[in-house]
Amino acid sequence: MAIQLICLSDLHLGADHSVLTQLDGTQRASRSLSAFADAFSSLLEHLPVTKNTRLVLLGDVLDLGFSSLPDVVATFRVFAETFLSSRGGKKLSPDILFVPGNHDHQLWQTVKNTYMVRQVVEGMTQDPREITHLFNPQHLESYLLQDILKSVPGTRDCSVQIAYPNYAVLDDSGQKGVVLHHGHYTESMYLAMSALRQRLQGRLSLSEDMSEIEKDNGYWVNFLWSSLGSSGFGHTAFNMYETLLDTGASHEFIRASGKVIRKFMVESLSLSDNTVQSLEPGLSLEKIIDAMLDASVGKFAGSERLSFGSVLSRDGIVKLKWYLGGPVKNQFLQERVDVPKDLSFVFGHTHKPFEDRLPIPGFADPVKVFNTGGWAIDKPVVSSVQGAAAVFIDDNCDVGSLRLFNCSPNGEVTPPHIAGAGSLDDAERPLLRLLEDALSRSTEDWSKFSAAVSHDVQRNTSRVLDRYFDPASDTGVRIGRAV
Amino acid sequence: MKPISITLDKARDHYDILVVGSGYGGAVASSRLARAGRQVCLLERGCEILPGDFPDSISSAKDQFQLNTPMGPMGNPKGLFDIKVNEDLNALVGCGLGGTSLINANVALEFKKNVFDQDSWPEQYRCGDFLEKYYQLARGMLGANPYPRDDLNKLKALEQSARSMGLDFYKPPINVTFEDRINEFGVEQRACTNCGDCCSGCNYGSKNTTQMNYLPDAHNHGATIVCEARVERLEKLADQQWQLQVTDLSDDAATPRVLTANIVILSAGTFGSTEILLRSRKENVLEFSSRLGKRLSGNGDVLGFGYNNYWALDDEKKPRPVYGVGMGAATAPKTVFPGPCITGIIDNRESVSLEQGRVIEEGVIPGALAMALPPVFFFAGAQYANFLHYGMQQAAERLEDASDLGNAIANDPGSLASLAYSGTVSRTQTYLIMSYDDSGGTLQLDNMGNVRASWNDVGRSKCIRDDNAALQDASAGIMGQFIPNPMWSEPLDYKIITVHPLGGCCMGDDADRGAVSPQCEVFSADGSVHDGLYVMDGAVVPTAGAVNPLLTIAAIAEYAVASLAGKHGWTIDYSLNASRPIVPEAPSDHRKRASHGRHEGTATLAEHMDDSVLEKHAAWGALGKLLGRLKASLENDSIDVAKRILRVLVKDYPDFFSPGVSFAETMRGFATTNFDTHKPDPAQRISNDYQLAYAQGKGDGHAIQYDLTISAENLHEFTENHRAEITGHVSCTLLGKAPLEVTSGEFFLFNPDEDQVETWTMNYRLHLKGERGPLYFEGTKYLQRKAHSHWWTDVTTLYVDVYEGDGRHGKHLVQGMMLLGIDDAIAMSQTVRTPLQKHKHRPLEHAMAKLLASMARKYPKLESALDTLFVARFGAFVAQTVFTAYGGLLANLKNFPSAENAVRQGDRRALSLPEPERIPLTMPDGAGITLYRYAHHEAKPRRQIVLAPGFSVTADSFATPTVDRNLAEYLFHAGPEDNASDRGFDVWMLAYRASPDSGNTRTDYSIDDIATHDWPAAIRFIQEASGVSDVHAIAHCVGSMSLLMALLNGMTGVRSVISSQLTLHPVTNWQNFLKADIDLVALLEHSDENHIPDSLPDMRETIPLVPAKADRSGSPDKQSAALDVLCWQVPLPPGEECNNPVCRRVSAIFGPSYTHSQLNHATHIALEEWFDTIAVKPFRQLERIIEKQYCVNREGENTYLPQVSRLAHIPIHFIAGGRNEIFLPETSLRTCEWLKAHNTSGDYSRQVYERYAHMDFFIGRSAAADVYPDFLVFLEKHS
Repeated sequence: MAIQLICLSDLHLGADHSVLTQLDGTQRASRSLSAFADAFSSLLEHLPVTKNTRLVLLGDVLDLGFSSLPDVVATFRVFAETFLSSRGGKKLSPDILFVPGNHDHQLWQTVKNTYMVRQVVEGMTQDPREITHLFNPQHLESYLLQDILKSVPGTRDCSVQIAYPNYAVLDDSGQKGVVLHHGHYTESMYLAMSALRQRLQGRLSLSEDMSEIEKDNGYWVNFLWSSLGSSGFGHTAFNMYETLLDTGASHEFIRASGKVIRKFMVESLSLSDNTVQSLEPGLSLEKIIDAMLDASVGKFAGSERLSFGSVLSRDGIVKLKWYLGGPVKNQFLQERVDVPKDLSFVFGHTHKPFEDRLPIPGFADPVKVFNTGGWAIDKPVVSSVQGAAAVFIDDNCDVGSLRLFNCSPNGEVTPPHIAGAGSLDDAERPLLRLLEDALSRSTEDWSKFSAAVSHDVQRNTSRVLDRYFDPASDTGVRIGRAV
Repeated sequence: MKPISITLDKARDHYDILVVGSGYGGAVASSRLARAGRQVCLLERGCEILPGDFPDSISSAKDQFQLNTPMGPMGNPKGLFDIKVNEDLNALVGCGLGGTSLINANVALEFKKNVFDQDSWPEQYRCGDFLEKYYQLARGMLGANPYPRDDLNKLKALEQSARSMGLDFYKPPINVTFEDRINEFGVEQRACTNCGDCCSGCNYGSKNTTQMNYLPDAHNHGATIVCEARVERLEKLADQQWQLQVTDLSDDAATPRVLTANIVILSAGTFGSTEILLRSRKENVLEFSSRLGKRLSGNGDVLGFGYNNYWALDDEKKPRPVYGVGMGAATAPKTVFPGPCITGIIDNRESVSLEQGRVIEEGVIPGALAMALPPVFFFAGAQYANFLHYGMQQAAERLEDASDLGNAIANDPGSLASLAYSGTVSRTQTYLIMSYDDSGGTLQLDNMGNVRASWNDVGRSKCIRDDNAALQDASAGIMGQFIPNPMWSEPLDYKIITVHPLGGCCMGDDADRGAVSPQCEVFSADGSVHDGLYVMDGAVVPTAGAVNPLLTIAAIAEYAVASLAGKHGWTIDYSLNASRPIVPEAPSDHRKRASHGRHEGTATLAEHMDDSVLEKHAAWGALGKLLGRLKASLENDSIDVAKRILRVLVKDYPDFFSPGVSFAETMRGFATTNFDTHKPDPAQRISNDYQLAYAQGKGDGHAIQYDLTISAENLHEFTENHRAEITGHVSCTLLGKAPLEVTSGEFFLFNPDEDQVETWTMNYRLHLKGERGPLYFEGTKYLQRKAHSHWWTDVTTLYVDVYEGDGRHGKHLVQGMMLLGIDDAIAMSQTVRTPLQKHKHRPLEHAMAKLLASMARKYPKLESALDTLFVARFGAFVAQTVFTAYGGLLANLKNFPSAENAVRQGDRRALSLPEPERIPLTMPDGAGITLYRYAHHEAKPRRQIVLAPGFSVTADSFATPTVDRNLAEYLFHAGPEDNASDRGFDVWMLAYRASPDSGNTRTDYSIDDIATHDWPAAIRFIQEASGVSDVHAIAHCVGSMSLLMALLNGMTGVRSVISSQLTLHPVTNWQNFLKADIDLVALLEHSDENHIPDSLPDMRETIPLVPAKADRSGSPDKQSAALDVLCWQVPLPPGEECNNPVCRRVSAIFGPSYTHSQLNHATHIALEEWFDTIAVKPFRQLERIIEKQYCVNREGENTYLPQVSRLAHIPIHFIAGGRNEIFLPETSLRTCEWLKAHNTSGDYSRQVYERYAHMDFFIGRSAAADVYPDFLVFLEKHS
C-alpha cells in the first residue's frame, strides 16, 4: 500500500489572519509554519510515501482576495522554502496538484485564459471549457506558481498542475473513489448567480451542470474573492469584513452609517424627525434607520459568529447533499464513469475540519465526507470547531484524516489525532492504522507544532481584540476604530 | 322511490348490449339504446342506495369506504366512496347505482371552445359547436338550473372573494331539483332542503343523479339493471360476440359468471374502464392502441380550505359565518343549512390564455364528517397560523376563537359534531379549483393486476402550485387562513387528490393518436376498431377541462350512442313526458320515514334490561339509576337522550364502559451491522446515525420490517397509562432467515423524554426469539418540533437498535431506521378494532357487559356511539400531545407547561439541604431585598458563599429540585455527593431588588441602587450573622455586573468572585443593540393609553414574563395573549424555538437566556417559577451601558471604571457561555484583559464553556458535572 494523495487547504498564505503567515518584513516563516514542516517531515518518515505521492493544495492556499499580491508571493515563497523544500516535502512528487478555491480562483482564471488562447491560436474547434475533467484532467500548468517555485532553490523542479473545480480518482476495481473540491460551491453564497438565473427563468431547481455553475459564478467569485487584493482595495474590504465580525465594532459602524443615511434622507427626501414623530412619539428617523441596520447588517454579523456553533450549518448540509447528488454525479455521468459504491469527498473552505458520512440520494453507500479545515483566525474569540486537518488518500482510495489542531476558546489547541469517517469498518482500514502509528512515532515534533499553533492563534486573537479594544486605556473601549 | 335493480343471479346469459357502469356514460348509453328498442343490460359493481339510506354520520360513513392501494384493495368493495391511492395522484370516485353522480356536486357546465381547439381532440370536435346539440340533450335529461335564491352565506363569501380578485362570478347551473315533483321519468323528487350533503349522497332525492333520470328512463324502456356485479375483464369470441367475466358481489358464495353480448359499452370510469381493457390485453391477448393508459388528467383539481374567515357584508360589524358543513345527522335551525354543495363559481377562463384558465368553486363538507372537522381544522389552523396577518386587533380575536375551539375539543370530545356549525369551523369555506393540467399521468396494471396511476411529481408542477396560489388569493379576499389539502405538503411529497380523473382511453382520430375513435369505438393495435366495443365515460376525454366535466362526459356519450345507433340504423326516441307535482298526501319528511324502520325492537330490549340486575348490587346505585334512564330513553326511542346518558356514563365509569383497542402496524426500513461508532460532540457531526444506518443498509440491501399487532384491553386505561401489548414478527436477514417472533413486547405512547425539552417518545420494546437465543429490539419515535421537523415525519419514523440478550446491555448487533408509508398508515387505519370489553374476571360486570353487548347488537348505533366516545377521548389525548409538540403559537398560548408543572410539583425530590432561613431586609430607599441562608449550624464557622441571580430571576432558582444536583446543594456539600466533611459552604442566596422573590415593590430603581444599597447590605448581614468576614460570591449577569460595581465603589468583605457572563464591558447581540438604538424603554415609558393598542397589557412600568393564568372558562387573558403573540414573532436561534410562553417571553425580552439543549423537561416547565414581572426603568441604565460598551452610572457618566485599583486584590474568575447571545463571550474577555492591563498583580482568570449559553450554568441538566467542579477548584484555591 502507498499513499497516493495528501490534501491541505485554506492556508490563506499572504493574509495576516493566517497562522502560517508572518508579515513582519523579515521573510521568515511563522512559528506554526516551521513547526508544521518539521512535524510533517517526521511523520512522513514512517509512512509509505513515494515519488508518486502527490501533494494536493485544495484551494484558498493563496489569499488573493483581501491581501496584496506582493505579500502573497512573498509568503508563498516562504512556504516553498519551509514546507515544500523540507525533508518531508522532498519525499513527495514534484508535481503538485492545485485545486483552486474562491480566494485563489485567479489561478484557474489565468490558466483557463491561457488555454482558451491556445485553443484559438491552434484553431481547435471545440467549445472552450469552463472546468477541467473530473478524471484525468488535461494537463494545465500554473506558470504563475511555477515561476515562484523556480525562484526557490529547493523547489526548482516542481510543477503545479491545476484542476478545477473537482478532481477525482478511482481504485482499480472502480468500486471505490474519491472526489476533491475546495468547497465553495457547497455554499449558497457562491451560487448566487445560479440562484438568480434560476428565479429569473422560473425553474424549480438550480442548474446541476458543473460547467454552467462555473460559468454563472466563476467570474464574479473571481473578482470579489480573488482579485480585490491586487486592486489595493483589498485591505479596506477586509477591514470592513473584520468590522462586521466584531459585534461591538459592527454596531459602531451601524450607528455611523445610520447618521449618513439619515443625512441623505433629510436632505434629499425632505423627511424630518417631526414626520416620524407625528406617527409614533418617541421614535425618530435615526432610531428607525439604526433599527433597520441592526436587523440587517447586525444580524448578518451575528449569524457569521453563530456559524461557529457547528461544523456545518443546516443549509450547508443541504447544499453539500445537493452538490454531491447533482453537479458531481452529473460529472460522473458526463464522463461515463459509474459512481463507485464507496465514495469519499474531500473539501475545505469552512475552516472547520470534520469527518462523517452522509446519505445522498442516488448513491449506494453513504458518502464519506472529510473536511481539511483551515488556518485563518480572524475573531477575538475562537471556537473549538475551528482547526485544520491534512487528509491522506492511499492507492486503494481509502481516506484518513490527520486532525492537526482544533482551537479552544480557553487557550491551547488540541493535539493531533487520526480520524476515519466513523463507520464500524474503520477498524479494518490499514491506512488509519498506519497514520496512527506514524503519528505516535513523531509525537515530539507534533507537540512542538501544537505549542507553535497555540502561540500564533493567540497572536491573531489578541491582534483582533486590540483592533477594537485597548485593555490599557481608561475604559478599554476604542471609539472610532470601526469607522 | 322503488328499487330498479336486480342481482346478478337473476340476469340472463346473453344480451344484445351490455353496459358496464352507471355514471354519466353508462346511464346515457343504456337509456338511449333502450329507447332505440334494444335489449340492454347494465352492470354496476356498487349497490342501489335509495335516498334516505346514504350515510349521515362517521359511523355510517366508515363502512362506505373502499381503498385501492398499491398493497391491494381494502375496505368494503361496494363502498360508496372509492379512493384510489397512488404515489402522486389520488382520486376519489363514487361507487353505486349512479356512479360518481351520487357523490359529486352536479355542476353542469360546458368545456370552453378553446379546450376543444387543442390538437389532442379529434378533428371533428375542434370545429365550432360540435357538441352543442348533445350538451342540450344532456342538460334536458339532467335538469340543470342555477341555485334559485341569493340567501347562502358561502355563495356571498365566494362572490366577495371574486370581487377582491377582480374576476367574474356567477351561479353555474347545477342538477338539483328545487321543487317537490314527480319528474319526467316518474321518480318522486323532493325540493332541495339545503342540507348540503350532496357529496355523501342526497338523502332527499333532490339531486338529479343519473339514478333520478337516465337510469329509471332506461328501466322504463325495458333495460335490465344489475347491481353488485363487478366486471373483471372481457374476451372477444369467434362469432363477433363479446364475453364478460363478472364477479357477483351480492353473495360471497356466488360463483363468477360469464355474460355475452353483441355490443359492450364500458362506462366504468377513467380507472375502471382502463383497468378492464388493460386486464383484457394482458390476459386475453386482446390488442389495443398503444395509447391505452396514456394521458391521465386530474382536471387540475385542487382542494383547499379558507379557515376562520373574517368577512362580513357591507354594513355588518361582526364576522359572518360561511356555513360550509352539511347537516348529516345533526339537528339544527334552517339558518345554518349550507345549501347545495356548489352554487357559485369564480371563472377566469374567458379572459386569459388556456394555461392560466381556472375556476374556483365553493363546496360543502358532508355532515357525516362533521365530528372530525373541529380538531382537524384546529390543528391545521395552528400549523399554518400567522395570527398577525390581518392585523393586531384581529389577531386577538382570532386567538380567542382558537382558544375557544381548543377548549371545547379538550373539555368535551363527545360534542365535536356540534362544533362544526358554530365558531371558526362555521366560518370556513371549502374551495375546489379546476384548471388545465398537462394530462401527464399514466395508468398501468400493478403486479396484482389492479390499475395504478403514476404521475411523477405532479404535485410540484406549476399548474398545481398556481392553483394553490389562486386559492390563497381567494381565501385572503375574505380574510381567511388558507389551509391547503393536508397531503399537499413536503413530508407527504406533495400528493394531490382529484375528484375528476379523466383520460386513459382517450379518443383520437386514429390509433396512433387515441385509444378510441371519435365515436368512442375501441381501437385495435392495427388501427382498425374492435367491432362492438365502446368506451363511454371520462376515460375518453383527452384533456383537462378546467371545469366539472360531467356535462361534457354525458354529451360525448350522447354523441357516441347516437353514432352507434346511426351505424346500425336504429332510431332513438328522444321525447319526454312532462313532470308533475307530487300528490299532497305523501309524507313530508322523507328521511324520517326512511330511518324510522331502523329503530324497531324496543320491546325486546326491555327484556334484556332486567331491573333486578341493576339493583342487585348496592354499589351500582348511581350507575343503576343511570342505566335505568338509559333503558327508558331507549324504550321511548329517544336515541339522542340515550346518547347523552351514555356520555355521562362514559365520563363517570370510563373504566367499565371502555372498549378495548387493537391495530396492526407494518413498518419497513433498512438496517446495518456497519453502523457508526464515533460519538463525538454533536457540533462535529453532519449526520444522524440512524439515517446513516438506513442508507448503509439500503445500499447493502438489508431490509428490516415488522408486522405487529398493538393491543390494549381497555382503551380508557391506555389513554391514562400509555401502555399496550405488542405481538407479531420482526423480519431482518441480518438477524435470521425466518421472521423472528415477538415473545413479549410493550408499546409506550407519548411519554415525555425527561432529558430533553418538549420531546415525546413512542417506544417499541420487543423481546424476540432469535435463532441463537433471545434478542432485544428497541424502537423509538421522537415527537419534537424543530425548525425543519414535521409531525407526520416524526410519528412515522422509527429509530431501531437490536441487541443480543434481553436488554440494551447485550452486544449491539444492528442499527437502522423504519418508516411508515402513507399506504401502510392507511392500511393500519383499516385494522383498528374497538371490541367491547368482556370483563370475564368479574361476574357482575360480566353480566352487565353482556347486557351492553346485546343492547349494542340491537342498536348498532349505540355501540358505535359508545366507541366513538372513547375513540374521541383517545384521539383527544393523541391530538393533544401532537398539538403540544407541534401546535406552534396556539400551543404556546395554551401554556401546557404550566399545567404540567402544577401536576408535577407535588412529586418533586426533597432537596439535600436544610430548610432555608429567609431574611427580608429593607434598604434605606425603601426597596426590599431577601437573603436565603442554608447554614450548617455548628459551632465552628464554615466558609460563607453568596449566590446572586440574573436580572428579574428569583434567587431560589439556584436551589431548583428539577435537576439532580443544584448549585446550592453542590456548594453546601462541596461536591456532587452529600459530604460530612467541613469543606462544605454555608450557602446564601441573594434576592436583590430586581428578583421576584426579593419582596421589593419599587420599580423606579437603577443598577446603581443595587450596587450601592443591596450588595453592601447583604454582605454586611452575612458577615454579622456568620461571624466570618470574608464572603465568596458567585454572581450572574446583572448580579455580577452590580457586584463588580459595588466593589469598584469600595465595598469590602468579598473574598473572591466568580463572575458569570456580564462584566464591566458588555458586548451584546444585534437584538439588544436594536432595543437600545430605538430606546425601547423611553417608548414604553412614554406611551400613553392612546398609543398602546388596548389589546396589549400596560407595560409602562413593568413587563409581565409569566402569562396571566387562564380564568375558569379556560380562556386566556386577551391582553396577555396579545403579548405572547408579539413575543412569538421575535426570531430565535435554530433549536431554541419552543411552545412555552414564559420561555418565549424571556427570550423575546432578554434574548435567548439558555440553550434548550442544556435543559431537561422538568426545568423547562418550571421556568414560570423563577420569573415574574420585570421593571422597565432599570433598563434605562442598561441601555446606556450597552451603548457605551462599558459600565456607566445612571446618568451615563464614567464613575465606576476609574476605581479599577479597588479590584486589584480580589481574585476574579470569569465564566462565559460560548453560545451566549445576550452577552457575548467577548464581554468577559474584554474585562479580563482590561483588569490584567490595569492591575498587573491581580489574579484574574477566565473560562469559556462552549456548549453553554447564559443562565444554563445554573439550571442546566449537567451543570453539576460540567461547570461546578471548576467553581470548587477556584474556591479552594482562594479560601
